[in-house]
Amino acid sequence: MVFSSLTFLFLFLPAVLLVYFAVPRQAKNTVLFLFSLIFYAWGEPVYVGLMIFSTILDYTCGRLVEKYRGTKKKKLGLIISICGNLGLLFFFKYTDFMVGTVNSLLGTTLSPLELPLPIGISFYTFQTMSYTIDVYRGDAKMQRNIISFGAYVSLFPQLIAGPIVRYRDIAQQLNQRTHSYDQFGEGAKRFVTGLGKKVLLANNIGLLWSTISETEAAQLTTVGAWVGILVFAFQIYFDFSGYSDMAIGLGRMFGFSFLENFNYPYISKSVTEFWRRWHMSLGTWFRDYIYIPLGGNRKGLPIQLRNIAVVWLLTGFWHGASWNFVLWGVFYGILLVVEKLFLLKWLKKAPTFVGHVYTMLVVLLGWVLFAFDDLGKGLAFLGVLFGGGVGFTNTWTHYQLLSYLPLLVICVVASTPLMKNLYGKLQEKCGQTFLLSADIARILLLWFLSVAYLISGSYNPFLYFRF
Amino acid sequence: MRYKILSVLFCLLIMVGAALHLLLPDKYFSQQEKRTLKQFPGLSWSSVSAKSFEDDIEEYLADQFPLRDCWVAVKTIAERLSGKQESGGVYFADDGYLIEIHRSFDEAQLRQNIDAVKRLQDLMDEQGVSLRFLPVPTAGDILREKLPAFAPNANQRAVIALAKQQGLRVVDVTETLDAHKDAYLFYKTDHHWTSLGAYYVWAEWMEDMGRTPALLAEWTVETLTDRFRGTTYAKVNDPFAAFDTIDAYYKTKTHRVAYNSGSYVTDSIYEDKFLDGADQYGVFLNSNQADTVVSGSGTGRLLILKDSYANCFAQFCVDDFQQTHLIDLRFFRGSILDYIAENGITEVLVLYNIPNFAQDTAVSRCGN
Repeated sequence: MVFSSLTFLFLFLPAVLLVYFAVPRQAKNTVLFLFSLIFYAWGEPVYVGLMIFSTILDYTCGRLVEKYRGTKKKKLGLIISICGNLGLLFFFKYTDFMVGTVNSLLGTTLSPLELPLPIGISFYTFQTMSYTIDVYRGDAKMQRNIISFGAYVSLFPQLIAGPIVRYRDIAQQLNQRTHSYDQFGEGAKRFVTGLGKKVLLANNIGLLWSTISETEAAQLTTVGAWVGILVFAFQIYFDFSGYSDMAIGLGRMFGFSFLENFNYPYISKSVTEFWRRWHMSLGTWFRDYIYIPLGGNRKGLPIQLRNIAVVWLLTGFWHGASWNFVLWGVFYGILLVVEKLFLLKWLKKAPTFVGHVYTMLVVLLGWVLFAFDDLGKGLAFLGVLFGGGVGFTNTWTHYQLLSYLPLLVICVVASTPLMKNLYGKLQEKCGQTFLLSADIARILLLWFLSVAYLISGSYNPFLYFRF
Repeated sequence: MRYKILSVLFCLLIMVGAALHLLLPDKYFSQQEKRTLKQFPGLSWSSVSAKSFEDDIEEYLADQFPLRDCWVAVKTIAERLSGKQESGGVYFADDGYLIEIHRSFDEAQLRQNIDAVKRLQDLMDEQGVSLRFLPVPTAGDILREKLPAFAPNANQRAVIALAKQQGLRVVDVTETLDAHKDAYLFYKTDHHWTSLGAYYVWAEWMEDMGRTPALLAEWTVETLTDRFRGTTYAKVNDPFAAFDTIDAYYKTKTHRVAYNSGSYVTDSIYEDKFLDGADQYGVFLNSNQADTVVSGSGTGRLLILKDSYANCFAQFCVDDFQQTHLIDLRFFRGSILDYIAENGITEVLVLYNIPNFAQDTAVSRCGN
């Protein structure tokens, strides 16, 4: 089930809220666990078994870690957990990719498994691993209650698209958390904002990207291709950050506070900064569980460069079992190394617009690699960006640009902190009544428009399912 | 206090929606969309595991949502405010015209269709039966000034030029229609032309045959409905769309009309039952039938090979011929050559609107 569906908004959410707030404190995690399983089963009934297996596996590993702490077998639980989780992830996500690669390299005819990818597997395997690692390192206490642990693993707000919540960040909240109108109201506001980003911005601007990406490269114009990749950048940002907003908002309603996942990435002045603002929970995960254990930046420049290379190869590969994602990871790995070596210093001296333009340009080129599974098509599209295609511009391009101009302007504004800052200023100057009316107006507007689009539109694909 | 109010507001939004959904009875048919609505899907293990249940329930909720038509209207308004120039294959043109989109034509299909009509024309020439080809430009061509800026639009005049170049005897009506483009030639909410549009083209065709057409003032005009909203309206669901008027033009209102080899015989080319239904343009000649014969008081026998544009065109012809035959190649399965011979046809008219002619795969059967 996805949040941006009528099923979630008008069936699942009312039901889970009613039951959750009706039952006593001790039963709340059970309610969350059960409803999360239903949420997951909605799309993939068979894979609920996988979710329960994952829960039991890591619960047991946590106990093993605790049991053998200080003995020779102290790493047993850790190793089982890492192998188990990576094994699951590898089996479901990468087997067919490997089969394809082996077939093309060796000329064999192994048949692919063609299993559907369990929804959110890239997210929850990372979360469950973080539990065992945190317990092993002593960053968190072992969870004795399997239901509470199950609630963590399957927690529906962030189950299928993150943010990737490290166990240590919510260990405390799992056992004891408070619920208040402040949290609930704030969460609701955040949820509706995310819903609007996804349904109103990402889905609609995505229509233009579909039109452009489905056009043969030879028929595209240079201006059309630039507009296209810009539009894709907006689509993926509002899709993913909208989903994170909804997850964080729902978490707040149920008394959790998840870490932020996005912080206006498109205003960055360098790629290094971009990655501190984009999908922050994934960056944090790789930093805490791979980069730093490998030695981070403490073992000299060569080791640090190696560590960056490893992390970015994995980051690319995590995003999808396809060579274009690997290339995309390598692309960013190289850029980050170059920035680390000298470019950051240069950029600091240059006027700020240079940093903005450079970053945006590089990020857009990165999205070309990301957007096309088929490398040939990606390269053809790149060619059009730099002068190939049917010409510089044509009436078709003008028509599309004109049709989407108001939406594009809204996207530009919404991807900067402009409105947030304005809101902050209002908060200082205006009274409570004004702020309340502004909040109510915002919720009603976004809600009614989003629901209207969901009811009338069949176009509601969700991009981050594949990862 | 502030967040308490927001919390209550949010709960109201989801709970009221859910409660209304549960309490209100489901509907079976949507007048607005002219289709049956999704009913509550049965829950079974096979539907759940095949994931169809997930899609079915979402579709059910969307179709049965309280005040669905209002929600759809809200979306249409939002889309137009956000700068969208089209929706569902229809341009939002000036003056409230909703014009069907044709960005380009399939060149191969077009040439194939022209060749087919040319073959028929050659055969008719051998038999001494006169044949004319009448490609009618649609609103997308005649009213192209009303289209949104830069809107991609297939060149309909190139089709006429190509047909002439391939040796077809074309009745070119572009000048006539251009001259009257400020008149009510096309419906605002439907892809068809009005009876008035058809009149001007009919007059042009008559003159091409060397006959004198009756003047506009000589016809009795009867308004069949002034609450017509047609196909392009149904595609965009624009709540602010205008209502069109359907007029009938006749001299005598009764004719013997036989549909589909006489399986249905009636006394008027107007089928009033359509005026209450979803397809109001169908009032002309009972919507689209495979073959139709209308008896008149004139001389000669006319055969129109046609699409639905001919349905309102025919009202001007029926008195001038002894018989007016209409064949819709999309539904007619017999041989056209045999039909022409058996019925003693003296005049053949191939009448299509241009986008339909360019795309229709049935046209090539006209030489069978």
